[in-house]
Amino acid sequence: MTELLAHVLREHAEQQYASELTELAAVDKRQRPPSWKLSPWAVMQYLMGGKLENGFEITPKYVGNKRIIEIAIATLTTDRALLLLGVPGTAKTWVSEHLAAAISGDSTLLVQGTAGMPEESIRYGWNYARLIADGPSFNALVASPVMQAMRHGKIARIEELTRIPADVQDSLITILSEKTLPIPELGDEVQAIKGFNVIATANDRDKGVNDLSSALKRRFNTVVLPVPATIEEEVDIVARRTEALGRALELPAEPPALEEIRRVVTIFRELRSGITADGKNKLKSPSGTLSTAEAISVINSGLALAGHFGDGTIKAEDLAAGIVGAVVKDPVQDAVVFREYLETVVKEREGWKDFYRALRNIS
Amino acid sequence: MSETKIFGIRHHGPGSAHSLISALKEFQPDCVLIEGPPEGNSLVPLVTEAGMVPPVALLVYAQDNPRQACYYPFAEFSPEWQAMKYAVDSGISCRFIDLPQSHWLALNEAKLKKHTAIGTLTPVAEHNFEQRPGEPFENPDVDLKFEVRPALEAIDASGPTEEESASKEDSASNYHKADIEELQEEQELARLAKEKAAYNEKIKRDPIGCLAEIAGFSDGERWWEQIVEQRSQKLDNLDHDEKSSTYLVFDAISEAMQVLRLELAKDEPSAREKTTKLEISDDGSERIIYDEDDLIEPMREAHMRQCLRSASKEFSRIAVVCGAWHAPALSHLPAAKEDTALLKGLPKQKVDATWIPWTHGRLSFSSGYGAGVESPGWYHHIFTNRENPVLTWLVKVAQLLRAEDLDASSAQVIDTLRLVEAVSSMRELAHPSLDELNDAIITVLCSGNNIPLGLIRKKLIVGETLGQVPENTPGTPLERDLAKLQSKLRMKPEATSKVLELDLRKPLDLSRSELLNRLLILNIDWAEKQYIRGKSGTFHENWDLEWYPELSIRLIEAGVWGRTIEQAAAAKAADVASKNNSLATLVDLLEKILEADLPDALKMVMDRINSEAAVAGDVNELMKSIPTLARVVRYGNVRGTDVEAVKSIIDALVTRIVIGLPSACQSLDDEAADSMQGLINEVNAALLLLSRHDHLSSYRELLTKLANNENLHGHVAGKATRLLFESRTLDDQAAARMMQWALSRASEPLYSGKWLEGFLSGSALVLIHDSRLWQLLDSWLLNLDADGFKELLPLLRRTFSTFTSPERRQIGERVRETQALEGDIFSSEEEDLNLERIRPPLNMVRFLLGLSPLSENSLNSASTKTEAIAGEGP
Repeated sequence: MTELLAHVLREHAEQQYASELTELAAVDKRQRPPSWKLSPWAVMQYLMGGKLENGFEITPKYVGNKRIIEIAIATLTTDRALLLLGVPGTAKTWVSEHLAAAISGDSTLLVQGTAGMPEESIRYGWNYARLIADGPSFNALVASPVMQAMRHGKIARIEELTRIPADVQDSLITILSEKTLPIPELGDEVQAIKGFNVIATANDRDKGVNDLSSALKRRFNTVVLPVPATIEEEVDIVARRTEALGRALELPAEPPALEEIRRVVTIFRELRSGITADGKNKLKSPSGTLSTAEAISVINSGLALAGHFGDGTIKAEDLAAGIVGAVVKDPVQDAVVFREYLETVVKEREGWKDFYRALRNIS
Repeated sequence: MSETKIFGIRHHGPGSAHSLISALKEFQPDCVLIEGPPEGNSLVPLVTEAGMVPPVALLVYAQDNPRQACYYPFAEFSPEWQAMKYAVDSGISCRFIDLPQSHWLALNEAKLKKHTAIGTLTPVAEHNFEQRPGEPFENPDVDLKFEVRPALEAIDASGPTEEESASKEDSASNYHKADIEELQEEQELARLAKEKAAYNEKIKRDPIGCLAEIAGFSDGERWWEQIVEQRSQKLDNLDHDEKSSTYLVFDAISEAMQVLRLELAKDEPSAREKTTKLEISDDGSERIIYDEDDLIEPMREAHMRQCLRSASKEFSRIAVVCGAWHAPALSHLPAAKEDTALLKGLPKQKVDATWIPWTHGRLSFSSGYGAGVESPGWYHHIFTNRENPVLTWLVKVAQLLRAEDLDASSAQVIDTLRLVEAVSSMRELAHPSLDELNDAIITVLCSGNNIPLGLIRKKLIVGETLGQVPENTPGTPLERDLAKLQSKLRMKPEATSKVLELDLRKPLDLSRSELLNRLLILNIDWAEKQYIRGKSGTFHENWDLEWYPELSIRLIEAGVWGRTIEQAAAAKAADVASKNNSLATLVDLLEKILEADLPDALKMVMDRINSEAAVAGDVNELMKSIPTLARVVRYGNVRGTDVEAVKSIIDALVTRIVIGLPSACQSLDDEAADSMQGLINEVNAALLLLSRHDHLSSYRELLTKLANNENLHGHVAGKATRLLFESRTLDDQAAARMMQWALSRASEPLYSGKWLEGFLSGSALVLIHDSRLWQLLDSWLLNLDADGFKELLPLLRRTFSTFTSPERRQIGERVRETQALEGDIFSSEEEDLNLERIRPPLNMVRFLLGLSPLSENSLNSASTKTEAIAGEGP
C-alpha cells in the first residue's frame, strides 16, 4: 500500500500532510465539536500554518486573510453549510479539500458538479442487478458521497455547485435543512450523524452558471475568497505551490528563482487589475481570468521545459510560451492587448530585456 | 491633604464610560475635574436639563470673530459626559481644567499673524481660521485635544511635545543630572541609532499600537476595545470586593502611558535641548511667539496641574477625568513654580461658550475628527443595550435591510447569531466586537456580498442621530429667534436630508419658504432649493433640508447683522448691495430679497440697481439682468411681492439695451459674438415672457437693424434674422431673401457659415419644416465650389452637431427624399410616358406593398405621381 502511494500522481491532503495532522491532534487539547478530528483552533493552525508548542512546523496551506478562514471554520461548527465563492483560481477547491481533511480526516467524499449531473449523484443510485435480483433494499442502494458523509458524520464536498442544474441543486435543500435523506422506495431514510456538513465551491462569474435558488442560498453561509491582496502574497503562494508540485511531478529542474516568479506574477497582476504595479498607467485587461492557479501552471510548464529541454534552470524563454498561452485566450482581442502591454510596459522596464525578447518572439 | 484619583479614559469609549461610572460611585468624590475648556464651567448644569439630548458639542468661540471657534463633542457614551452627569446629579462641583480657549484661540491667532507677516502662511495655519463649508473642523488643534490615540498629538505637535512635558516634570535641580544622563544616552543612541530611531518613531506614531503589539493584537483599536472597553462588561459580573479593582484599570493604563512617555522622552535629546534653552532664557510671552506648537501640550498639562492644585485646597476627594495620555502628567504634582512660569503672560481673547447640537456622523473617524471613533452608532448601541447588545444589534440590521427591500428573515438572524458566537469563541473573545458582527452579517445575511452592508452603513454603524440642546442654553438672540421660528413653522432641524415640498399659495408654506430664503442670504444653507419644471413650478418649491453642526456657528456669526432672522437678513442684503457694483450680482440679490420678502432691503437694492444700470457702460451686463427681472415680474405675484418697481427698472433697462446694442455688436470676435447671440436670444425670450407690446416692438426694430447690417459678425446677424423669422416680423419670403443674400456668392464663405450657424444654432425645426428655406440652403450648398465647401464644412458640421439626433435623422431623411425626387422618372417632364400602360405594373407593385391602387386622376397630376413613387421608393 505505501509502495503504491509513492506512485500516486497526486496525494490527498490527508495523506500528504498526515504527519502534520497527527502532530496537531497530539497537541490539540481544546474542545472538539462532535465527530471532528481536530478542534476549530487546530484546523485553523493547519490551514494558516505556524509553529506548535513542541516545535513542530505546520506549513501554511492558505496564504491570505486569516479572518476569512476563521469565518469558514466557524460556519462549519454551526449547522449551516459553507459556500466558498470566488473567481477561478482563488484556491476554493484547495481550501475545501484541506478543511475536509482537517475536520473529518477525509477529503474524498467529493461530488463534482457538472452541467449534466443527475440527482443520483447527490442522493443515491441503484445497483440494478441487485435491484432486480433482490428487490429494493439497502444492499441494492448505491450511496452518493453526500449520503456516505451523512452516515459517518463527515464533511461532504460539492465542487462547482453553480454548474449543477437548478432542479438537482434543490435536492440539497432537505439534506441541509432537515439533515436527512429520505429514501421513499424503501420507506426509510438516512439521518445525518453529528459532524456532517457540506462545503460547496462555486464560481459566480463563469459562463453558463445556474444561480442558486434563494431557498438554497439561505442554507449556505457564503465566504468570498478574494484574489491575493499583495504581490508578496501572490509570489509566496506561487512559489510554495510550484515547489510542492515540482516535487510531486519529479521535475528535473531546480526550483525557480523568486525573481522569475515575481516577474510572472507581476505580469498577471498588472493585466488582471488593468493598472501597472507602480499605479501610474492604465492598461487594457484581457478576457481571461489570469488567476493565481494559472500563474502556478505557467511556472510549472516552464520548469518542465527547463528540466527536459534546457539546462535545468528556468529562463525567460521557458516561461514565455506559458504566459502568452494564459493571457491570449481570444486570438484577436487579447493578442492586441498583450502586444500593447508588451510594447508599452515590458519593453521599458529595467532588467526585463530577456523577457521582452522572449515574449516578442512568441506572440 | 486631599485624596486625588486620576481616571485616564479613552475619549468616546463606552467601556471607559462604564468603568468611570462605577469608579466614581465607588470613590464618592466631592469634586470632578474634566479635561475640557474652563469657559464651559457655567454650562455644565445644563447637562441634566430635560431638553438636553446628546450628541452635543461645547462650542467655544471668540466674541469678536465667531469663525475662530473650537468644538468639544460629547456623546451619551463619552466618559466626560457621564462624569458631568454624575457631578450634576450628585450635586458636587465640576470643573473643566484644560488650557482655556481664551488663550488657545489667541495663540492661534498670534501664530497666524506671524505667518502672514513673514509671508509663509502655511496651509495648516490657514486651515485654523478659514471656515469652509463641508469641512467639519476648522481648528485642527481641537482634534488634537480630543485625540484618543496620542499618536496624532505627537505628529501634530511635531514631536518634541511629550519630551518637554517629561523634562518639565524634572525639578530645576535635576537639570545637571539630566544633562549627564542625556550625554550617556546620546552615546548609546549613536550605537543603536538605527533600530532605536525606527522603534521610537513607532511609539511616537502609535503608542497604543505598540502596547497592542506587545499584547499580540493586530492593531491598537482592537486592543483597547478588548482589554479596556469590554472589560467593564465583565466587571458587572464580579462581586463587590472585586469591583474595587476598577481603579486598577485606570492605574494600569496610567502606568503604561507613563512608560511610553518616558521611552519617548529618553531618546529625543535635541528636542530637550531646545526646551531647556527656552526654559532658561526668556520670559513666557516671548517664548510663545518664537515657538508655536511645541509648548501647547506642556502648557495644557501645566494648566491642568494648576487647576488640580487649586482644587485640592478646596476639596477633599477629587476625581480627575482626562485622556489616558495625560494621566501620568497629573498623577504627581511637582512644584508649582514652573507651571506658573510656563503659563505666564499668555495672550488672551474674549470668548463665549454654548452648547450646540452635534451628530454621530461628526464623531466618526471618516468625518476628519482626530479623536473620532470608528462607529459611533455601535458604541451608542453597546452603551445603551447592556443586556444583550449582539442580538439587538442583529435585529436592527435585519430591520434596516428589510427597509432596503433585502431579504433578512428571522431564521437568518438566528443563524447569524450562531456564527457570531462561533467566530468569537474561535477568536477567543469574551464578547464579539463589531468586526465579528460585520463578518457574520456579510456571510449569512448578505450572501458574501458586502454591498448591502454599505447601504445601511451610514444609518447603522455611524448613526444619524442629531442631538438637542435645552431652550435655556445661552445663545445669541439670533439663535433664539430661529428656534422660535422653527417651532412656529414646525420645521425641526434634522441631520438627515429631507425634501420639503412647499405650496406657496398656503400662508404657512410661504412663511417657511421666506425663512429658508432669509437663511440663505445669511449664508446658512440649511436648505438647498431644487429647481422643478412644469406647470406647478410657479407656486411650488422643493427644498432639500439637512442641518449640520457648522450651521450653528454660522448662526452665531450672523449675529452681527441683527437680533432677528428677518432683521439680520435685511441688513446683510443691504450691506452686500452697497458693496457690490456688478449689476448681475445686484439683480440676483434682488431676486433673493423678493423671495425672502425683505421689504426693508428691497428699496435699497432697487435704488442701487437703478443707479448702477444708469452708469453701466456694458450692455452685456444689462442684458444679463433682464431674464432674472422678467422672472421676478412674471412669477413674483405668487408671493404677493410688489413688482411695479421692478417693472419700471425693466422699462429703463430695455430702453438702454435698444440704444446700446447696435454699437455693442460692432467688431466682435468669434467668442464674443457667440455669447452675444446667446444674450440676444435670452433677452428675446424674457421679453416674450413679459409680453409687453412696446418692449417687443422696439426690440424687433432693433433686431431688424442688426439683421440688415452687413458689417456685423455673421453670427449675430444670423441670430437676429432667425428671431425675426420666428416672431413673424419677417415673412417667409423676406426671410428667404435675407438668407440668400447672406449666403450668396458675394459674401465671404466664412461670413456665410457664421451666419448660418447663428441662424440655425439650437434648433433644426425651421430647416426641416420650411421647404423654401430648405431648398435655399440646399442650392446654396450645391453651388459652393470645392474650395469654398471645404472651408465651410467644419462650420456646417459644428452647426449640425448642435442638433439632436432625431432632428439630424429627419434632415437626413429629407435629403434622401429630395434625391429620390430628382431620380424620379416622373420628374422629368420632357419624357412622354404612356400612363395607361404604366399603371398595371405600378398597381401590382402597390398591391405587393399593401397599398391601395392608384386612381386614374392621381396619375395625371405630376405632384401626386412623385409622391406615390417617393412614398414607395425608399
